Amino acid sequence: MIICQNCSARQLDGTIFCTECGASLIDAGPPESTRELDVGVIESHDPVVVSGPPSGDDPQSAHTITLVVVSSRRRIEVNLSDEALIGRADPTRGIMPDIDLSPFGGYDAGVSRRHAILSYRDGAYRVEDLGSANGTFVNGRQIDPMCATPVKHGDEIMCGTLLLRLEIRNRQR
Amino acid sequence: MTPGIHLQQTLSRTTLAVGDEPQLIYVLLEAHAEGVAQQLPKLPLNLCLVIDRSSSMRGERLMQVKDAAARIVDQLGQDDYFSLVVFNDRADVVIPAQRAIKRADLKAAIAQIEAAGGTEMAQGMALALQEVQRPLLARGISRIILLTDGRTYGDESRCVEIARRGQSRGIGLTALGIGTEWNEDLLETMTASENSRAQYIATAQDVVKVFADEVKRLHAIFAQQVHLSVEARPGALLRSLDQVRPFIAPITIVEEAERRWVANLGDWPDTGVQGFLLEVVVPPLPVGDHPALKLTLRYHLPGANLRDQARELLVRVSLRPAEEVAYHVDATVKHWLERLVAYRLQANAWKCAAEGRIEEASERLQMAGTRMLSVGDTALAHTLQQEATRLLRNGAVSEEGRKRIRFGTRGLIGPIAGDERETTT
Repeated sequence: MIICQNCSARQLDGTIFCTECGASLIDAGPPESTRELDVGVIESHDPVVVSGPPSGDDPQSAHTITLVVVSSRRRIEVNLSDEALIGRADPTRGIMPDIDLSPFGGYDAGVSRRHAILSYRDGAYRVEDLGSANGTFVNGRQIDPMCATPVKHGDEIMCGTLLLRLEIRNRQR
Repeated sequence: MTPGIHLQQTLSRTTLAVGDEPQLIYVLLEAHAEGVAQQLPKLPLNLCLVIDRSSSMRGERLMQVKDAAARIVDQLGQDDYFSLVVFNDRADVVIPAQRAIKRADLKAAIAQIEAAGGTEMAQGMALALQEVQRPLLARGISRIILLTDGRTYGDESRCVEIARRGQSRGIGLTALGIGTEWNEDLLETMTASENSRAQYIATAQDVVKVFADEVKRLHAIFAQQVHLSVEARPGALLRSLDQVRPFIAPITIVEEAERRWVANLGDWPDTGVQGFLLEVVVPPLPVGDHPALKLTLRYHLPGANLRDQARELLVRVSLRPAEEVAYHVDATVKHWLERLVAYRLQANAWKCAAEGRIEEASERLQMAGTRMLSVGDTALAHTLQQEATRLLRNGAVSEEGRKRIRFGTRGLIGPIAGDERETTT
């Protein structure tokens, strides 16, 4: 059982939005559970030392952005701290990109194994083509390889012929 | 490739932690046509337009509607049937059901329509049902498209009864409301059936596109009488089934036998994706992979002379010890669920408001706003926020706000957002 923090309704484990009030039960990390806790873990837990004021919106902290595969409307959520590799997983060569486009038709769309880098620094998002075979396009225009190009919410990034839309949303609710 | 329907499943969580309590999983079921692109001949269409010509339609609205009707005539093929009924205080058949051959004559008849008088819908619906049943089609699609901008008084129950009679004979109804005066409760009740839906046309300029899209969609129908049956493993339960693509619609499910549910999903076009969200309660299970549900889709493909086709899909869940399971929710499933939750919240809000629980109603609208903001519909989130505040202050929402919320949360304002599946790649 999960207890909704907003309205205290009891919900089944695995519920994403409270069936009573509609509040999200997953945004605050793992949901509260009525399951009995392992007390030993808590007692041996070292408290984390926090200094300074609580950071509500630390620009450097990891945050979630979404890449929407336009053709299938599949959504890829990316926890972006500084940079993420976009490409196609190739376990035999040990290439495991942070954003693996193979399940979204990456091979047929001509996505390279190491295709591009999506980065976040100093409050700005950039995409950089890594000399991919079929190129990277931002809003229809091909970007030069090895040259970080600024992107913003709503921009369309095309890897080969796979069209992705970048969604950046304020995490504050 | 043999023509058929391709099914794809996505679970909210692929691995569940072992525990002694039941758990909820969400299953996104997406379906699209495969192997039908050029092979199947179009099914003949038998279309009846029912147009409100009350005095409030005068000017821009009627002009757009007449333009839209004339364009429909151009869209129809030689095998399609067309009829046109108008109503105000009385109803008239302007064009009796006939093949769309003498296009110039049909358009001349459309051009003659003038606005005057009141709104009495039931007469118009009765004549429409009569006209649409005239052609004898061995196979094809019969549909009534109703457009109104006002309230009909005293004959609401007759309107619903006539709509139901048609639907029971396989004649779907698309009810389009224009402006802010029409009765959305009535149109939603009339269309609460498969192959039927109500849609809100906020501006007259959208009429042409909405009409054209609808005819295109009807022409694209390739599968008929699509039924889904869901069989659950012992202890499991199907809690709900809703359509989420191309628009949100609750679906009636019937528990036909123990742990076996069936739903009628109507006729499907071969363009775009049909998406459904299932809420499934999974009982406590031991570590291992377990089948949870068997989904069977049954349908006819009249264009290919194939009846009683079936596709099956087994939904499996994997259970692992709790310490090995990271809590991760699939983003695509969450996205469609979030839209569905917003729709449910606003539906609940109207119920609360009707029962006098204004504060609760306002909270529901506000939470629906939070959900819409999170899925990226800022404009609708803003409307929800505004109307939640208005409801608290004045005890009522605005007519326009209510319509925007009711139809907006379903994705049924103006032309339906492009949901075409790209078949290239």
